[in-house]
Amino acid sequence: MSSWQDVIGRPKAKDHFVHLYEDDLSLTRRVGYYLREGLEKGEGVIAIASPEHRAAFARFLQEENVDVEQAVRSGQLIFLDAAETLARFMVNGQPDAERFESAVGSLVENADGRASFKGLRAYGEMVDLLWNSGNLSAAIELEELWHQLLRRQNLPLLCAYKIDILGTAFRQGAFQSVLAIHTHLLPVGDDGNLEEAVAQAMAEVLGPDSVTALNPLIEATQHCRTALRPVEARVVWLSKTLPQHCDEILARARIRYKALCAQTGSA
Amino acid sequence: MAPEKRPGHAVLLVEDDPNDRLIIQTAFDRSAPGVRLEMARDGQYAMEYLSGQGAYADRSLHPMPHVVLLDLKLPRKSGLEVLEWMRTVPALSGIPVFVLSSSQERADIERAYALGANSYLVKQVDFSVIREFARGIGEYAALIALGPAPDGD
Repeated sequence: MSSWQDVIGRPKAKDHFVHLYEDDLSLTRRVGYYLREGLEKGEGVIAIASPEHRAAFARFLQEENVDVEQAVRSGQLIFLDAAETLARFMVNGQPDAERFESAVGSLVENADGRASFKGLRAYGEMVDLLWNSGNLSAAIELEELWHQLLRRQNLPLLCAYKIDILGTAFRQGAFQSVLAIHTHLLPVGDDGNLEEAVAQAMAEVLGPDSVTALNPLIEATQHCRTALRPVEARVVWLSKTLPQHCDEILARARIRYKALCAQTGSA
Repeated sequence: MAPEKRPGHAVLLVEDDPNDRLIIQTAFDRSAPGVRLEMARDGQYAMEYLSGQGAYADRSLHPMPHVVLLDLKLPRKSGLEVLEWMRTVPALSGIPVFVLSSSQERADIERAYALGANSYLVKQVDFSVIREFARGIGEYAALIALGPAPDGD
């Protein structure tokens, strides 16, 4: 995979993407692109997001010459509030499968059944609300409910988490469980900055000869079902196999990545 | 500055196929001569080796490995059984396990990771690639050896 546009531009049924972001600009670009592509292809589009993000996505779409009001009026674009939707199916701190079906499954089925649409795609950030409130088990459970819904309804879903791929949260076992539920991790950047930052940091901490020797192992490592670009796979590999060096490598990589992004003005 | 390496780091290869054992041993001899490659030919022997039982009681002859290379399809105890057992034994739970299997089945990969594998590699037939793997494992074992030694070492 070469860029995030390639990954989410032509989603297939049951694709379950995850985007990790630190700043809302990065989120808006990717989700806005994903929504716009769906609308332009005549698909039904469901976006379950915070009020701030819905407003940002709507602005992005308007700037891309999408008539957002018309899309909403016609039912092609459905905006729902993430917190309100989540509250409809949470019971004692965990998502209830039956209530999820009633709140989300029926919405998807209704939208999917409309003959005027050439397909359906969804975006959701309810899982991120659960994750960032510390309810990790509920986030994983909700991902599983979504995953079952995708398999049944044949639609793609994009999820987003406010998590730094070079930070400690990404390396937690619980997040690796979240990651494994998805089919694709969206590339964090597409300008080579992350690759360069991680490569520099690995060479500094481990030594360039060690990195050269380790590269064939890293590149040949098989991962779970989530499709990863080489650089994201490298971060996962470091966290699983070199935990004693991983913190230092990724802390250095993070500093370099920020500096490189500042130089290139990318997000 | 890159860490200074300690020589003589041990790797345990758990492999039932004598041809694979010979090829991998040759690759290590040529590409990672600093590695002390120990072998167990099935899952039961691997468990005896790791727990220092029977013929493996003398750690000067059979050192605790810094890394385990584990085939999955093994007689007596499967690789997954060995892996699952290792993760329940405190003295062994921290030893990195690289699965080295001919299986590319998604279910095998996911099961291995779920049971605590650190990495999953598919067996190769190209000897130059096997040598690259051996060199990488040797380098990795050297890096691991810099940390706290596994219990029983």
